[in-house]
Amino acid sequence: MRTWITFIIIGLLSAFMFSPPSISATEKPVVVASTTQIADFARQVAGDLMEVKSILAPGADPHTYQPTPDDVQIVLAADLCLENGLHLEGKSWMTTLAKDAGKPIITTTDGIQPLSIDEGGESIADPHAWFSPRNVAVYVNNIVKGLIELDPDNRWQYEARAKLYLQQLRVLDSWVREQINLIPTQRRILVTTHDAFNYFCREYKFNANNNFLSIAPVGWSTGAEVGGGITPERRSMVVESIRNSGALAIFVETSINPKQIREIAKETGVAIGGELYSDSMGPEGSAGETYIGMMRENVLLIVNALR
Amino acid sequence: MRFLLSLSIWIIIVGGLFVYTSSRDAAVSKIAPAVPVELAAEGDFSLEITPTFSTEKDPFALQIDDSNQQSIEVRLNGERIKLPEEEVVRGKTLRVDDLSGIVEGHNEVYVKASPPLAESDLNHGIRLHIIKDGKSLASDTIWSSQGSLVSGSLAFTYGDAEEASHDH
Repeated sequence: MRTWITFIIIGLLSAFMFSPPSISATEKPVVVASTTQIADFARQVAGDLMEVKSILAPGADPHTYQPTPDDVQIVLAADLCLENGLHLEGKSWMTTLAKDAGKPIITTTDGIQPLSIDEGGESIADPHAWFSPRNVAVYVNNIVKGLIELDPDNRWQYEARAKLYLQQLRVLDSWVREQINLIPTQRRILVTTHDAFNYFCREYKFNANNNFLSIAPVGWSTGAEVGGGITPERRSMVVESIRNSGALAIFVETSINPKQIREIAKETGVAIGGELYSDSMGPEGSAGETYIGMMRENVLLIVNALR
Repeated sequence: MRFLLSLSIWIIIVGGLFVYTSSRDAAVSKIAPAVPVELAAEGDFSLEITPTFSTEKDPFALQIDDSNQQSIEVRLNGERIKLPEEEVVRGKTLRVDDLSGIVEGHNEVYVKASPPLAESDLNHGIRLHIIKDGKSLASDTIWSSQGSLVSGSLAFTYGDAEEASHDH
């Protein structure tokens, strides 16, 4: 009996000694992105060579997000952090997380010529640059450079994946142009619940009367949308603004509570065009779970409502 | 005593197995793959490239270093061909003389270029034409539509295999 026990113990010890390297020795580099869009771009380039995580969950608002202790842990385990920049991440929460954890961070909008928006009488850079696929090509190029620096041995793989994704973006861009062309120019009025669509309007020529920039109802603000309340005066401004815009439909956004704007749209007699993906992509399994999917669904919704 | 005996037997068995598998893997990796011998084709070869579009800076290009900046890329059997430093203009033929790299047997010329985004509603193409000693050897036109890159290859056989393929 004792002999058998000895055999078993030594057998287990041998198995342990000659087993393959532990999981920790073969762990993939971890890339942490602030938003779902940036995480998607990084995944398209990194493939299975890296683990890509997003701090924001689908549907979350980057402007008002408050990092949690879990986010600190995620960033502590990161080898590289990616942020949008242009103050999309309210109070620069991603920069703060990365800095506090001592991790390198790349601002993926570096090199993009930002559009200006008016916020409280002050002109600031519009952070929603991903609504132009051409800008996304800049995001992708910045990400490729970062991944190659992190893992130079697999450079050709990152370049090859990036080339494929850039081609897909190119095709997406021309497809969007073809679809938008179905809407007569005088009907190309895009009104959304917050002015996130400036780059989209500028690229695809919506809102000619507003210098090809996004139109959000006057008196409406992100603060009101997330529960700050809306006064009767502001409500009447919103109603008036929607009526004056000449829009056939207004669109709500998936990252924003649409209840109030639906009630207001009813009052104005303007149709609700549907819910657009804006600051965040869709949940896993939805058509908008990737950037290309989210753009495709947005365009189809817009064309369907305005053509 | 019994414990030491068991330990020795296990070390011999497991150690032997480890040495065997290591030496077997090393032996496998030493076997060189059979690389087919390629004979360079003799003759004076030229390549003509004629696009249906003028190229411009591509906003969807990979911009890691200068090697990716060329608006049109041509490779012969996997090797990049240096093109004349001329502007790529619609309908104007780019000619590469003294083309080296063609081998006896199967050859492939690959081309990639980005048509202007403003012309994404048009179909675009690039004609590739291989010439040997002034006579046409192979030609084909690579097409694209809907704003996608013009990307494709012209495959041709040169030498005995080419003659055999014309026998039927």
